Amino acid sequence: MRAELEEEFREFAVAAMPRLRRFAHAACHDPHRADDLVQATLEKMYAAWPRVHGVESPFAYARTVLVRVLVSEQRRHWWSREVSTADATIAHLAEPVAGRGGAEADSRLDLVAALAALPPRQRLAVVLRHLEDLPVAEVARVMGCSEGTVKSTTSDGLAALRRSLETVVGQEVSR
Amino acid sequence: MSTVTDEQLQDGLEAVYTRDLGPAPFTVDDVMQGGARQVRRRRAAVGTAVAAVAAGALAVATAGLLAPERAAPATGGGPGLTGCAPQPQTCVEVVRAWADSTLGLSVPDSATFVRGTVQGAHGAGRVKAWVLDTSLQGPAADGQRLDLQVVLAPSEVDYPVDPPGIQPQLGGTNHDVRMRAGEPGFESTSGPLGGESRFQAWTSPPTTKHQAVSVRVTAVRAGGIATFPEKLHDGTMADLFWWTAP
Repeated sequence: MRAELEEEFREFAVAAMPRLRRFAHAACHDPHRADDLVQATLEKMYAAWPRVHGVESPFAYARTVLVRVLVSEQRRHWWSREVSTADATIAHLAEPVAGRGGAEADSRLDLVAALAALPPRQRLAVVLRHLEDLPVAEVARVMGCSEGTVKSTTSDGLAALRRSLETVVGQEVSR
Repeated sequence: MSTVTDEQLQDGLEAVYTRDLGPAPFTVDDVMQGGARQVRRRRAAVGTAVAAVAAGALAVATAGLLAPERAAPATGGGPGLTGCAPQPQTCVEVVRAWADSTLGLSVPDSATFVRGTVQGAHGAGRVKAWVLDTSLQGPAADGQRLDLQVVLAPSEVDYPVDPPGIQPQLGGTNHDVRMRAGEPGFESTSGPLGGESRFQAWTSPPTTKHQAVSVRVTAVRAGGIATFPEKLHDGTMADLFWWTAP
């Protein structure tokens, strides 16, 4: 690759990596797998960079690549997937943030657990729609399904999240 | 009544989303090295395909269907490999012999391979290939025309990444098929083309000796009830062609 393209890619990767990691960590509850996904995505972007560096939004392109990589991996046979045994997400989130109480860490923990418990497509739809703030049509394009499916999947995902949080709140009230 | 409001849910999700993830376990340099490895692997695969094109070795050529006087020496293949010329014009003779012995039909004298593009499978980008498009001549039933397309494509190509993350193969099928008349285990793909027209296609996967070969015969029916001559059937290629009832 030409030096100027390499430099351009480096700038893109440095800028996109934090957001891609946030997206991957939300869309995939295993933090190690999420980081692997981001690395694989950026490697694919590097290989394709001479063709894609001029697109309107390289980040949107990378996000689509990440979703495809994630979906491809989910389709793999279970015995060929790597399984992480460390539940680093929950351990990491349980650490209280400086200046904030433990209750907030608890609520984040509940929400992360609830998000992790969602089926993969519901989680992906919720993350793309409500955290990446993409319009329904764009989510449908990225996920390769109809807009109606996006709406129903997102709605089901949010309802499941709400149910799980209400259960936790109910348990806390009854204590 | 719900005790968790939409706002609380959204705020909670955003708090999860914007949390500090700590340092990434890889660097941009790691990514660039990994990407460069991918590029090198892809180039090596394309180089192998180019060598196969140079050798021009079709499976049918190695099957002995190519007349010895027509066979050009291999320029980049394995030892003793006979095949087509670097540009696969002599492959027309291979196709001609195949169509004659297998289908009992002839390929017009004007038929030739030209440089063209074909659509990759699964919505992949267009692939540069040698393409022969012609109509077969022979005792077909009334009102029919048989179009033949033979595509010689590299075994692996540098597809545009669209859709991203997908690396399809030409043909999209995985049939272990060779263009060899009477070959046991001959398999094919087939399907409707709209109306009553049907197609029959064979795809040869790339091997170390030849590039990917895709053969498609399209039966275009102009009207009336048609049955294909019985002589086109043999024990190993039953139901090679068929027609839907009107």
